[in-house]
Amino acid sequence: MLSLHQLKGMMKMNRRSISLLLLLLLVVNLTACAGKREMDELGIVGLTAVDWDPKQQKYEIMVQVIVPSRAGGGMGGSNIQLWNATATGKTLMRASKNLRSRVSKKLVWFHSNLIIIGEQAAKKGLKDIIDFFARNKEIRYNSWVLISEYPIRETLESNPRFEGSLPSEIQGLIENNKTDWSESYSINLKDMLIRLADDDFDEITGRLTNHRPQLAPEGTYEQLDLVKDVPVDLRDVIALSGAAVLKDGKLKGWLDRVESKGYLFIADEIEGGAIVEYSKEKEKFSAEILSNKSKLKPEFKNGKVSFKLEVKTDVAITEAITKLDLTKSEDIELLQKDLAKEVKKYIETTLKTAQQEYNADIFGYGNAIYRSYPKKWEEIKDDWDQIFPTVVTDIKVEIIVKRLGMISQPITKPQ
Amino acid sequence: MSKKMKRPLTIEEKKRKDEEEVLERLEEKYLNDIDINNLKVYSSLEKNLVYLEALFSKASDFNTRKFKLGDEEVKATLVYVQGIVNKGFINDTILRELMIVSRNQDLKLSRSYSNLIDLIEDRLLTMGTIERRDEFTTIIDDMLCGHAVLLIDGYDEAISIPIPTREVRNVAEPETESVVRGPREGFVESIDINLSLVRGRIKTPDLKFESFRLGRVSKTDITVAYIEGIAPQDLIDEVLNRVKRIDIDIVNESGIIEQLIEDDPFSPFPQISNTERPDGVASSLNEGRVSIFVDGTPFVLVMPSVFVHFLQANEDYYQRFFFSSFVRMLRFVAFLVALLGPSVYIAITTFHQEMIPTKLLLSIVASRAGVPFPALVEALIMEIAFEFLREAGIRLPKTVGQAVSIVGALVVGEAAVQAGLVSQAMVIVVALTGIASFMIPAYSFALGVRLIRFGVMFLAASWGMFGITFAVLALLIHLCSLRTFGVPYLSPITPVDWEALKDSFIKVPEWFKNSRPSYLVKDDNQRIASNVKPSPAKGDDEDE
Amino acid sequence: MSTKKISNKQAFLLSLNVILTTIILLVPSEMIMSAGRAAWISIIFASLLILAIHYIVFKLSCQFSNQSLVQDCIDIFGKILGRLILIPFIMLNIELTILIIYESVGFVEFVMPTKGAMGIWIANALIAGYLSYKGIETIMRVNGFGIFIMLFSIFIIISTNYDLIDFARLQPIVLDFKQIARGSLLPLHWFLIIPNLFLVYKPFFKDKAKVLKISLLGNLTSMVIISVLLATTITIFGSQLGSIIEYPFYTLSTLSITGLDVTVFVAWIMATMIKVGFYYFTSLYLIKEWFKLSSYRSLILPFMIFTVSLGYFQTDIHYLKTLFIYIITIFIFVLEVPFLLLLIGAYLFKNNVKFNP
Repeated sequence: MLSLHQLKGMMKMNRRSISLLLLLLLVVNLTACAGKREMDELGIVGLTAVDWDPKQQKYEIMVQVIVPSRAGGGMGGSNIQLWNATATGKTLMRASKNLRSRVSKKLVWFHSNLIIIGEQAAKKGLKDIIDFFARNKEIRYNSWVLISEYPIRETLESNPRFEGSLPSEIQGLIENNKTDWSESYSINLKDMLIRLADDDFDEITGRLTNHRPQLAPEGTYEQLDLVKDVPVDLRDVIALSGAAVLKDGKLKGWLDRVESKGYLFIADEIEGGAIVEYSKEKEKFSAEILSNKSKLKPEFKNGKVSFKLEVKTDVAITEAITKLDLTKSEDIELLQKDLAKEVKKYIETTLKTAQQEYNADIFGYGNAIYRSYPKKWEEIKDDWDQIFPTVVTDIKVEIIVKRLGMISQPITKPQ
Repeated sequence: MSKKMKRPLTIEEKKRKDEEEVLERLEEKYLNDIDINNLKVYSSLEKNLVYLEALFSKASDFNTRKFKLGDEEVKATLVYVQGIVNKGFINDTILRELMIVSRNQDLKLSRSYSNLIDLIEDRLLTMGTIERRDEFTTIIDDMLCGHAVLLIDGYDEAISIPIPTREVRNVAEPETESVVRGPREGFVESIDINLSLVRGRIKTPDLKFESFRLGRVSKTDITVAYIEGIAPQDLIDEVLNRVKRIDIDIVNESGIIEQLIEDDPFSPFPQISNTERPDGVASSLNEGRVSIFVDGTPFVLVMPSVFVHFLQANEDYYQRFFFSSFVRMLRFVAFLVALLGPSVYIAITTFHQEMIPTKLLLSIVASRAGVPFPALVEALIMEIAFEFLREAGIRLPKTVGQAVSIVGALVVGEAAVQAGLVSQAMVIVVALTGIASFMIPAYSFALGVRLIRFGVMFLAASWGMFGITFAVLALLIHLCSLRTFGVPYLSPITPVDWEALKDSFIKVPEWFKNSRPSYLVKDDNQRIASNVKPSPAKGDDEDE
Repeated sequence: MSTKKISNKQAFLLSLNVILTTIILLVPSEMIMSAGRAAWISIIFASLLILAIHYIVFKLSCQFSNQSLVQDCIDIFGKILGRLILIPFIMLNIELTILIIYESVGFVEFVMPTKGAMGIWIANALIAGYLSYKGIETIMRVNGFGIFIMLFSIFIIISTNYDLIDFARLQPIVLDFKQIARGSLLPLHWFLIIPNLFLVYKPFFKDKAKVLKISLLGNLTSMVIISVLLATTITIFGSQLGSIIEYPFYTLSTLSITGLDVTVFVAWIMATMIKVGFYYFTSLYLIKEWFKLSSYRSLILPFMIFTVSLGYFQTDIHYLKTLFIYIITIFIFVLEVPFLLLLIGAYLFKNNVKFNP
């Protein structure tokens, strides 16, 4: 009796804490395992590709799942297996559910940094596809959106050369393009969303091509020597080349590498690494861009809109086969003028393609007008499609040679 | 009773009378019922001895040495408990004085003394302190604390001579708090030596030692030490109050006192720190804290101790401040790792895989492939195995302990990974957590952290990061509301005390630490004179 | 209980937390939706408006007495009327408590999709109950940590996303007052919490004269921080995208460093849970004063059960989200502003009587 009494006393004393503890336990039980994913159940999606099959009128979704397996019992010695899965469906969600029905792992997307969209799907319209991705919490807004020139099936079957997996290979290409060669332009999901949401902006993004050595597309590099042991028909190399131009989310066409460079000049997106090259008679020049500053300004004259583009570029000479004496300032000036003319040519080509051929305001001309003259923009907004191809751009390019390289005088004269 | 008696009766008579009287009393109340409280010393030696022998019956270390005192051959007995008194002292000094010296000297002098006890006190015993006792309780207490008690026939007073001795370790380097740089002396089991070690470092009469005995059975010496004028009076009063309130049978270690005087006994965090280092005690006394010394243990309690104190080591003050600050921040990180390491791993790997960089994720997934348990179970297995190892290693003899840790860490760990029971990543996490918990200088604090870790692991396994947030927030609320002797536990951090923050997560140079922590010391705050920042002598500037 | 426990610094942090946590979680997308690019201007507008009201009402209230709001009301309006007037105010506080838990649960569900929202509700209520049990002093201290972590996370988000900022997206700045006023409705509602809370906490402040200045400063600081954040969101997402993303600030954290989003999630959920804690305390304290109870602690458990059950079932009605702006408008113009105006009038009247007897 006594002990029971004591027990009661203890219970009374700690009743509140005990009941709270029980409550906590209950709560933990209520929610336990909800939203839980053990690591070995995961199928980590490395990239996602979407295409449209016009014959079946169905979306095709394709993912590349990375399944690491334990090789040799070491953390370092993991063996990465890549595994492509594809499914079709009337809507993207249907397709992705169909996809899941065939995979035993839980597919997770948060490591997927790439969204590749096939040409057919892009032509049909990007908005549905991007909406699907933007809604999904697992997709990061800094994933790259690329458009594949060839059917995605072929693209994804190409083999990575340098990296362990295709996604990291493509990512490497994009990073390199930014800093080292600047002849393509890729945007991520966030920027794509911004452009799709704004009416005064059209979209542009990187073009992914499948380089097959037997029919090399313009501008890609031959990589045969790296893949000697692989049979010829498997030697597919993925490459980033130029850009895709879209209007209202629909693919209009492509920009080649030179035009892409021109685009970068207009949009002030050059971080360095781009080259300017030209040859005049027997002289050959090339210069690498160190830094670039472009300014785009709308102007209204007599109710007509025109643009002023000022480009200021610092370059370093990388190749010079010339008679010019590069130590003389007059000769340098001459060279600067020639280079400027060349840059202007790139820009003009790009403008012409975008305005005349595709009528896609990828440079944000409309947006620039809106920012500077919001009221005027309201007036011309509805007719912008008609006005845009006629807009005249006054281009001023100023190039300053900052460095001559390790040698100041050319070794050989042009012959 | 027989106080008036100047001359004793004849031996025969007296003996008979005493025996009769004693037997009478013994018949009345048998030995167990003797109420020695308020029992005065009898003038009859025999009677006293009968009482004492009865009290100490079956105690083989109780010793009586009978002898004759002076020329008049007065019967006297020295009673003491063997082993806790200095034997050499008894043999060479006390008995010598009483048995031999007394014989030669007292002839002339004894006449001026009517009382033999006065004579002995004044002329014979050459001790620094002796006390005169007339109550049995005090005599017995004295004897149990290492006094020899001299009973003289015919006098109802006894002389108590404190000559305690005890086998004591030499002052050696403390094992729990070793330093690279700093004093190598540590406290020992003797409270006298411990107090002397502190007194040697603080030479001011303001350093007060308030002593008393605690424990009905153990009668342990307790000393509360503080510096008057620096430690706030209300803190001192509070400590003394709490210590004096204790009514317990035995106090074997300061940990028992700690558990009886701390503010919140249910808190996983200790609110009183303990140290083996005299320099640590000295500096905390100087910060206005109070310490409690307990006889029989080298661990001295220091209070109030707040959160940051447990992440500080004495050596921080002796090394240059850059490194000390770095180490302190490391310790704080280690505290977090020790607390949350496995839980964060569980939460991330089961709920938030997006946090892990892709390549790392791939290798973790690869290492987990084939592990049959969910992450929580895996972590629990490893953590509990680790706790096994740790506990086994502590209790075993040192040489065997090492073998255990080698077998455990290397063989079992490696084998478990090989067998696919646990993943390498988990082994790394658990090992790291273990090492991190060793980084915490205060063992008692680390114990709390070790325990909380398990709770957080369960929360993390069911709610992921939200569970961890829940746990951390609950802990934070607890810490924020916790007080130790009136001082908020998170003191220099919140409520914010910028001056004291200079000596918390970082340690500023000595010349910049202007005042004592104001959350502890209210009045006398000046720590270091201003303008003591070292600089080269004026003429040394080469520019001039 | 009624000792003065809130220092000036803590009062400042209190006014920061009140606004920052909620606005960061909830307001941006809806604000951007209604105010567009000028969202950051509406914040300034709302903040300044409340600044004035807060200054007047708090100053008058401090001049009037040192007691709690309930006692003030009883003194001014009489026992019954005074209590009646306070009923809507207390109800509003309880409703806000539930709304805040609702927000925080919504955020948790968004970040880590689980099926057990009930558990999150209870967890929130547990923490809040524990916090309010510990009393105002602990709440203020924990709040210091919460704010520190939160400001740190804001700083990290902005600094890591710095190179994404495109100031051109803020242009053109068109001052459309209708839009700005519409956009300022929501922040108005949250900024109003400062005067409300400070009136309730009046007896706790150590230094009333300074607290007024400090709380005004807190108001301005949170205004600056939120405008900066709104501006950052717009410069990164543009006004179109910014208005359709559910938690734009949170999405910012997913853009830069892997794993930052979860860390930020932890920081924000922490601050929000602390906020729920002091709402609990406010409501309980008001109820306690209203009924003249000796301690509010016994009310905690019933109040926890009450909020969780009411909140869980009430907020299941989905149109709450769509009607949110209307509910807020009604709150502001029917309950909060009239109440404060009434108080101002009453204090003025009473003070005058006192001054000219």
